[in-house]
Amino acid sequence: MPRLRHPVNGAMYTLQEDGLVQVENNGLTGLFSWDGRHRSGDLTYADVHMLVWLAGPQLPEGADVARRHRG
Amino acid sequence: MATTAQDLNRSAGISYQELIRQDDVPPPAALTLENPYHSDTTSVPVSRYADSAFHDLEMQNLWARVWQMACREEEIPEVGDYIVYEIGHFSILVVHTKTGIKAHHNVCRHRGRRLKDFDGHAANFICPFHGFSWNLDGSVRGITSDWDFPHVDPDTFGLNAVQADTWGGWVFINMDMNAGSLSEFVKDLADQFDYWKPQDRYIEAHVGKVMKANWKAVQEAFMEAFHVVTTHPQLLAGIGDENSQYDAWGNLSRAITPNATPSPHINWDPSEQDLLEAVSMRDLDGPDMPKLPDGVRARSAMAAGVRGMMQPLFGEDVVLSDAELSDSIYYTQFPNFHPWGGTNRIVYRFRPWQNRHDRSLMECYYLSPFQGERPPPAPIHILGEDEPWTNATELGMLARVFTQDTFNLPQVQLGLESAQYDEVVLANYQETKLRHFHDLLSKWVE
Repeated sequence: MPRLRHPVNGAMYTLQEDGLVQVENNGLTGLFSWDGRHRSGDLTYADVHMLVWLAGPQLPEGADVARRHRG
Repeated sequence: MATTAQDLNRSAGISYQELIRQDDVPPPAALTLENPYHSDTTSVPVSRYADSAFHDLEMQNLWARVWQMACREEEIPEVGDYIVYEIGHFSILVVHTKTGIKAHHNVCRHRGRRLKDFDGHAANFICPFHGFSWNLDGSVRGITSDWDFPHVDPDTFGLNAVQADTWGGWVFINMDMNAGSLSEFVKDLADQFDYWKPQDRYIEAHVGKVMKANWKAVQEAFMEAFHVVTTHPQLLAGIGDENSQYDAWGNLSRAITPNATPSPHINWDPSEQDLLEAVSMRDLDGPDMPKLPDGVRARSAMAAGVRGMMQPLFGEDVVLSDAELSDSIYYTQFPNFHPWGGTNRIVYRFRPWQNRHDRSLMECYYLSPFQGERPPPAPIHILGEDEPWTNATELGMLARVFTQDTFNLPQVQLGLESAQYDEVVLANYQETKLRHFHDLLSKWVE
């Protein structure tokens, strides 16, 4: 599943199959929905825009390309 | 801070001009220009976004008097082709006639019905109510039961005229028949864009989305890189957001945000490989990127990769610099036209939607180069208020970036509508384009 490390604080964001995002930071872990709601875990804060990026509305497979670099 | 002087404060990190001086293929002259904007404006009234009375002022003093982009020439290529351009309560017919492109108010001179409800092709304009008709040039064609209108002089009963003119393949209109010329109004835009020949491109994609926010609140989210650190954090390892350069000339402003260079907001030193992977927007488990050879800059590699794809479309004799291929170069022609420079294809337009202060239409064009016969322009794909940008697959990854912006903007409008303060505060440098815009808006509206 897609994973991203937050460039500023180093937290790891991992999209789960159920559409929630697991966030790990400083030894704490939490689960969040794409709009920033905390679902479970001892980590209660996550960067909402990282959540939107990973788990918000997505493009169908094959359309997820940086079109500015295409002719 | 580089200095403590208020107007000269700049972020840490390399300046844009220093960065492009290191590029392998140097930029065109337009990108070496610097013209910082100086203004005493440090805030603007909340009412500009949240008050329908201010919207009414804009309709009366701005939109009814200013040159504004209506369409592309390629959208009305044949005599008889027309589009219906709507701005607030105004509706304008922009039509290709035998003597060029003309524009008229889309209102029957008899009892006021809109003559056309949508774009199309016509030999003349016939009102669907009583059948009064006008030629494409706006002159009277026929008055139904003319014996009953002895008091109407056909010579003065033409459709109410609107000015129309073109620049760069775009059609602009102005409802003020006494306004100065378009060429004077867009002089600075033309000076910088003539090099990029926008008239030689075509509409590859055109997407519009109804936004739950004032048109200025929406467009201002696309006039600075200041929001990247919070709204697009996934980009930070490969974007010099705080190192953007901001300038203004007359009715034109510009931001240039360098890519494949790290944000001053991150507290680690990404390798050139990290920079390249960041600009590709890949996730950690995505396909492996090619490994950069030692000593090769990410900017150079990125530019070379894009150059390989773009050169055939621009022609082998066109020099494509690293900056034009890599960086985000985003202009604003007052009041609402936002073409991007370089090889980038993005053009934005923002305007009020359905004459409401709290709704707007955001449009994104991909204006693309082509070789050979001009391809037909893509029709607009309209997304509703609650429809996600990702339904517009023709935008590719940009649709996901817009999703992040759109997550904020309705909440911005709601916040402004209930704000317990009077002024929105603006940054001195990174919000240069907003300050320049609002200074111009004040001159038009107040």
